[in-house]
Order: sequence, then C-alpha cells, then structure tokens
Amino acid sequence: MELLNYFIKVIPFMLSGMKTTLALGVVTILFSLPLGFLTTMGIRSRFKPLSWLLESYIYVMRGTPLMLQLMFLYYSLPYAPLIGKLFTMNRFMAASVAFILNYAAYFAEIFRGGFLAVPKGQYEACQVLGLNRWQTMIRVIMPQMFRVALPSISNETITLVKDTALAYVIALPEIMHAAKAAVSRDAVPTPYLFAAALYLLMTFVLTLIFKKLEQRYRLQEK
Amino acid sequence: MNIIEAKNIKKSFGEQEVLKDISFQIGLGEVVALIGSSGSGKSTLLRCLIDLEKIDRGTILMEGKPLVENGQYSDKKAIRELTAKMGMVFQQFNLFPNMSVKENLMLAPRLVKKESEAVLEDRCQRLLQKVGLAPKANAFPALLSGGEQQRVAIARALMMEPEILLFDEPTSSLDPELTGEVLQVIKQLADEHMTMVLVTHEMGFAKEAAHRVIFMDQGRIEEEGTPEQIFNHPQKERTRLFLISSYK
Repeated sequence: MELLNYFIKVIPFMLSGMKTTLALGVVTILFSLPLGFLTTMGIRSRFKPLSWLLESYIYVMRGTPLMLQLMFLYYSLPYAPLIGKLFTMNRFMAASVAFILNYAAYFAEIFRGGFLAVPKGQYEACQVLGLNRWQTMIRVIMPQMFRVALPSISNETITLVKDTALAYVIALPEIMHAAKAAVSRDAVPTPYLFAAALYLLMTFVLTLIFKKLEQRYRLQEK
Repeated sequence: MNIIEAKNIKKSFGEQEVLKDISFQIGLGEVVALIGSSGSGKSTLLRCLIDLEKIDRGTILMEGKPLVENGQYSDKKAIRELTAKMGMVFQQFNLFPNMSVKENLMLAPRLVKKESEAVLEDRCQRLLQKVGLAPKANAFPALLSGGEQQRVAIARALMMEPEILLFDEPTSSLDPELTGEVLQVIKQLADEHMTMVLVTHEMGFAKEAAHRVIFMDQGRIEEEGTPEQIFNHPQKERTRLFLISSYK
C-alpha cells in the first residue's frame, strides 16, 4: 500500500522524465535513419573523397563511447577556439546531436549490410530491362534492402531507448535523471524500479510495432 | 540481314584472357546455340552483347549501329537505345522477389516504354498465357517452382518486345524434370522466328531447336555450323572430345 502511494506521488515527476526520453528517442530516429541512409549512399558513391570521409565518420562514431561523445559535445566543444560559440547548445540539443550522429553511423552500417544482401542479378535484371539507376534503386533494390535491414533496425531502435539513459551524464532531465533525483530526495530505492518499468513499457511497445512491420514485409513475399 | 555483328572481340579479367579474338554474326530470325565447357567464355560473350560486361577490343554492331567500335564504346544514350532492342534471360531467373508475377512483367515497360496501361495489361495477359502461367499473375516468385519462375522471366523479357533474346544457361539451375517446360517455351519462340542466342548445356535441345551451333573452347570459337555438321560430323578434335564428354 505504501509502495502504491509513493508510486502515485512520484509518477508525475518520472513521467516528465519519460517525456524527455521519448522526445530524444523520436528526434534521434527521425533524423538518424535518413542521415544513415544518405551516409550509406555516400559511401557507395564513386566519388572517393566523399566515401573516405564518411567511412572515417563511421569509424570515429563506432570507435568511441557514446557517453564520451555526449560529454564532448556538451562540455568540450563550446571551449573550442573560434568555432566554440557556434556549438554552444542546451542539454537537449547537445544530446540530440550526439545521438543522431552516433545512431546514423550504426544505421549506415545496417543499410550497407542490407544492400550487400541484394544479389547482383537484381541489378543486372534491371539493366537489361532498361531501368535507369534511380528506378533500379527506388523500385527494386531499396524495398529488398529495407526488408533485410528491418530486424537490425528494430534491434537498434530498442537499444536506442535504453541508450538515452546515457544523457544522464550531461544532466538531461530524462528518466534516469528523474529516478536518481527521487532516490536522493526521498531516500528510497524504489524509483529505480519505476524507471525500469517505464523502459520496459517503451521497449515492449516498440517490439510490438516492429513485429507488425516485419510481418507485413514478410507477407509480401509469401 | 545480320542483327548482330561481332568483330575481333577481346576481353580479359585481370591477367586472364577470356575472349580471344572472337567474330561472328547473328542473322534475323536465327536461333544460335553457344556450347562449350565451363570457362570457355560463352557466358561472358553473351553478357558482352548486352553490355553487362565491357570488351577491351573489337567491335559489336547491332543492326549496323556500333555498340562498341574498335574498343571505343558509343555514348550512354546510344548504348541504351541499342541494348533496349535486346532481352535477356538469366540462369538464376533474377525475378524481383518483392513483386507479384504481374508486377514483375509490368514494371519495366511502365517505366521505360511510353505505352498506355491498357496496351500493357493486354500484353501481360497474352504473354502469361503464352508461357502457361495466366493463373499465377498475382503470385509472388517465392511460391513458384524454378520452371515457372524461368517462364515468368521469359515473359518479362518479352514485355519489352525485344528484337533479340539472349539466354544464359536458362535451364542450368532447374531440376531435370522442370527443364522441359522452359525449353518448350523457347522452342515455341523459335517457331515464331524470334531471334535468339542461347548459351546451353542441353545438347539435345541445341540439336533440335538451333539453326546454328557455335562451339567455344578456351575463349575462341573452335567450330561453328549447322547442328547436323557440329553434332554428327564435327571437324575439330576438341569439338569431338567435348561432345563425347557431354553425352556421357
């Protein structure tokens, strides 16, 4: 009974944290998916300098911790000479930029794998039928690439929801931040439990959505 | 009249020369079978004709117009126009798995040919009937047998109304009991005087359906002639050896 009462008391505060978590997650997905796709296309382009530049971008993003990237963007970048002023961002902006850049790199790799899974024969069939590059890409290759990439995208999106907790290190008022604040303020450990429940709720909904999506694309084949 | 004329084609993959000075013609309405052991260059030759591979030297003329002349390729637009007159059927069918049979047939003509939807619908119906798959119009490729998939691939190529059809080992990835239905469709096209070049291991079929047989060996045309000449009276030792081994 006491637990329930406390839950009712603290949940509005926790939910305001969840709002921030959701906002960060949605902004990240909305921008990092297209950006990741463009990155893959850039790497596939025949203009080598672009391809190299984007490959190094992926290398840096995957090769360093997301937590470090967050701290760098929020705490270090504003002190950079000359350009520092331009990169002074509020917490949410900094977190969004870090997450978008980081997740775009991972999504780029997922899309690259999707492209590799489409057999060369599909391109050849398009060529002999007279389709141009654009038509080939949009009508034939991308739908197949997307179907292959979907399970990995789903997995990565669920990881993203949990990774938003890392924004704690720049004191973004998301779920973890709210939980920690409640724990300290009320001297009880239960807010962490509530936080876990909220994360589970979000990942559960995402799992359902992606299952539906995967089913839909599978149905198209059979 | 020659629809395709190839002169002194040479091509290498890295160090390895796969086509060594090849010349031949394909006449209008002719059915030509390209035979030879694996690695003889016959598939590569076929792929060069429709610009899936580039040759290093030599000339390919399509209805007298150069696709490539003395190793110099024409501009993209000209190549597009010339290859649009050719259709190709692959060993692996290469149907689009994300589309129904009908969508497979309709996609390219819709995007490339400026014809009315009614005309295309009509042609689609007619071609599916021709290959015996009218009831499968809405099925997806994954649900079809290999033989059915290859018949769809032939119908898809015919939707573009090509003047010449190239077949790259069209029955090689089919179970033996399914090759018959595909060969029957090809035979029917031959009876309708469709110009065709077939890379094939089906010697019986080559004998029966081809007007001319070209035997390739190690990147060269070793011998060519009527099926009667090649199969019953081969002049070259290599041809004889190849035929003995393929009848085993």
